[in-house]
Amino acid sequence: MSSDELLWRAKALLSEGRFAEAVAVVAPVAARAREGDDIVFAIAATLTESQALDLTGDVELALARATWAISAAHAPEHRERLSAKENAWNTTMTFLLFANAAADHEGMALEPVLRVLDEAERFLERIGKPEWRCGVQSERAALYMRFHRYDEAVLNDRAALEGKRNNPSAPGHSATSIERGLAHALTHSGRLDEATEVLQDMLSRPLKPIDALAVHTSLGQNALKRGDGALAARSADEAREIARGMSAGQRMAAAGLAVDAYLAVDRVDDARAAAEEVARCAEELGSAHAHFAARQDGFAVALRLGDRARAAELLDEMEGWAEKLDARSGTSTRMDAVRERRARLLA
Amino acid sequence: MTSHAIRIALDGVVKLLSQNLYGEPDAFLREMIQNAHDSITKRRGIDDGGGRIDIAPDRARATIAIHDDGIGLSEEEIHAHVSTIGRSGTGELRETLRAGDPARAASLIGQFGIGLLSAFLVADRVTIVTRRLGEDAAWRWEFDGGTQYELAPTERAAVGTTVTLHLKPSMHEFMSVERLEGLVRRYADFLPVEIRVAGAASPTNAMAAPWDHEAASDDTLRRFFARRFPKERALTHVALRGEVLGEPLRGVLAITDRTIELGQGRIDLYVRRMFVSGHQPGLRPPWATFVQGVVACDALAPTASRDRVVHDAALAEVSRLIGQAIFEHLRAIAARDPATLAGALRWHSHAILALCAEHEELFRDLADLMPLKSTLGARTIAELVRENPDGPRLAYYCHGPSAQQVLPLCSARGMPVLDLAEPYAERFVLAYASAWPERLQPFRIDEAGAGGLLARVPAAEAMRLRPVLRAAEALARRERVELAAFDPPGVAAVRLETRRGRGARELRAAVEHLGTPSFLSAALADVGGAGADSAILYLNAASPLLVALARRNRLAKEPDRTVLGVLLDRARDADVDAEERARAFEDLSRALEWALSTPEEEPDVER
Repeated sequence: MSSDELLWRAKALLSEGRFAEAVAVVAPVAARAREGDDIVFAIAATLTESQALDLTGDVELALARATWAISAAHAPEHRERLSAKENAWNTTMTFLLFANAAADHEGMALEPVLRVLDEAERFLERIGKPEWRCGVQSERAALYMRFHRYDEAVLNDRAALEGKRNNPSAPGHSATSIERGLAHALTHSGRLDEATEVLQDMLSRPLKPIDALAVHTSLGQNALKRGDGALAARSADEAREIARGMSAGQRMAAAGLAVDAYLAVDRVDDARAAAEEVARCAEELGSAHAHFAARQDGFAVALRLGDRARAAELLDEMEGWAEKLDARSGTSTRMDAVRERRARLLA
Repeated sequence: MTSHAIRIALDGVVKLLSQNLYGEPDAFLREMIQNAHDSITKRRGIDDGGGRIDIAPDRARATIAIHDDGIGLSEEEIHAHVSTIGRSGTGELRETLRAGDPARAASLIGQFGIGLLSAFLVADRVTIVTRRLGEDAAWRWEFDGGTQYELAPTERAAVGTTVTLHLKPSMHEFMSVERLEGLVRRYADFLPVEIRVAGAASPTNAMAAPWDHEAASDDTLRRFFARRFPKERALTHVALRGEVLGEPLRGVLAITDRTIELGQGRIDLYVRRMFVSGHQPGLRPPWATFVQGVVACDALAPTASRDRVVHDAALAEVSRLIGQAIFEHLRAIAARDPATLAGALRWHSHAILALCAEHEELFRDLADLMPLKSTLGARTIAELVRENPDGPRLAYYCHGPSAQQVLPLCSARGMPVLDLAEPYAERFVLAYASAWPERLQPFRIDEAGAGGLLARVPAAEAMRLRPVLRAAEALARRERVELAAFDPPGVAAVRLETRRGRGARELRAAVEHLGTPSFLSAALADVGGAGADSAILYLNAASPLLVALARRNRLAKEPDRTVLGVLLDRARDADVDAEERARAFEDLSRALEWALSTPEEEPDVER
């Protein structure tokens, strides 16, 4: 296969959710392209590689590739060519993918990444494509979400959704993906009715499995917050079924919902199985967020089962991860969660 | 505003210019030959005479005389050209001839009118005796590099010029006939005039390049290269035939049977049949370091000192054509002469791997012929896959900083492993797997968790080694510690980078790259640090030393603690910074001090 064909093959693997295979196919093509003369192809191949790496959990490497791509687009010798109309889509994507990967990196601070997105907006102004800013807005929303600034996330997602509907070919997330983000942000900001409205509207249309998974997960979380355990459990069943065979991150999202939902309707054995699935996924992912969430779910199940010793052990581990995560984000939310559970354990 | 003429203090300026203009004293002979050649060329346009240069060293007088039977100089020409720095009679003639006789214009070499300055590289006085064609009068000109020259009528039977250099005492080495012959061959081998040294019966120079004859065979080129590079053995020759800005590009390049260090490979560059440089920057693509030979192209413009050519579009085009010729030659021999190609690949794999990274067609032609370093010796991918007992498509490989850690383990288990430390080698293997997934499944073995080399430790054994594990965790630096069992038992621990660690390493490199915009560097300032999960330190449960340390269970105290520290330092050896290396030495020193401080046993005394 030629380099072009291999790049298309990697993109196809990516859309099928076969992320590790996509990396294996595209990495040597991109590495070769970065040494060659065709900067446009090199950017395209590196973007696909960065995206695939991010989806396999290789966030640092994904960031390294996105950094190369943005730097190449900024180099004086390429700047004019990569700003040209036919290449601007990919150049815009270099910024968006950087922010996307950065949002997944636990050590990343908010403000500097927002400044990268400001730079992206300046680039769009410069090339006369301000209508493409919806991609930037949705990445900004994802960043605000990551830092628990939900109202700002809602504002950016709403603006992004409107922009995307008017410019469906603009670089960045699909309208469905932005809607998912909006529902998520609404749920977290306590605007449950608005969130349910967005999610029900999405379910009334045909969705890709990955979108359907996200919608059911969000509906389930929403239902839990409203005290509707039965709906939450149904949503969890749907989500776990869809996530079967998907990546660890997606399986973990479904199983994480299932732990809370099953406990809410007293399906304790199912909840324990779901917690074990969360723990396996966390090992696979290896991030501090995943480890923290796995201990949190394990604690809930152990407490319900009356295994206080196991619950205490998990709480100690959870505290270790909470300290690290709070130190990185400059918040106390995880430690607050630990303290709340410790009080329950002692009660 | 008023304008004024720049004034130059002439006293000493000639010697100063000569010393600073030319890179090496050898250049004097090139300039003298060039002037003599142009004089002969001028005469050939008028009558049939002329065509010989004689170089005569005279040890008794400490001089070198350069005689030519060219057109000679009139009194007026001596004042106008010889005695005026920067005014070239040849350059003016070339301009005159350019329209009417372009071939003769092109054959003239002189350009700037400064060649005579080079005489003062080796001489402290220069004498010229000359007689112009068509004139009876001859002239003797003498100059010591100061502000005045002397000119007087003299006698000379034949038309032509003799330049006599009165050598400085430190330059008497140039009177060596062998040295002068070497310089003639180097600078003027292709010049179409006879050049004889010390009255030799036959010309020292070849007077023609092999490509002057249209039908120059490969054999001719091979012989030419062998004569030109007597210490080298060529495996294959690349004949250059192209055109740059309307001028022919000719030459012969060879791939030889030895590795050429960066910057050592020589390509002798000729412009207007005169040697310019053996190491002209920009003459070849950066990857083409493995070829040597000779290139000639008159589209290139020498600098004033003539030891370089100007970096311009012509030079870029010559470089491109050289790259293309090598590339096409490699493809051609891949098809018709794989044995020769295998030899070339063996000696120059680094450069050719780089070439494959840029040219997909070449990569496909060479994919099954490229030998790579492995634990079995040099092997092609196809050979290694055939020899791997674990699977028909499987090839283990290592690449990163942990490679040196795992190779002894692989050797102990008899596993064939590609060692892809060479730049571009990993990319080559991964590209192979992308292009032909049905033939190759590469498996990286030097990454933590990769499996294959490390076996799980039974629970009871793990329990016994728990004290060592705990002590190692206390000594851990940016790494996780785990127990594993592996061969050979003599290796107590290995430290393998994780995928995360590799990502962090590459991210740091991207952040530190000078081309990274500041807004990105700022965003990444706090990420990419080596976290605790950047590597795993595996303790070998099969190591007798670790087992002994566990049994003693005194790891909180010295010397056991330091002994364990030294073992862990060894495992980190390939992947540590300067600070850690210093700490490792301190650990080792303490362990050795302890060993030396152990009381000596009393020697046995025979009774």
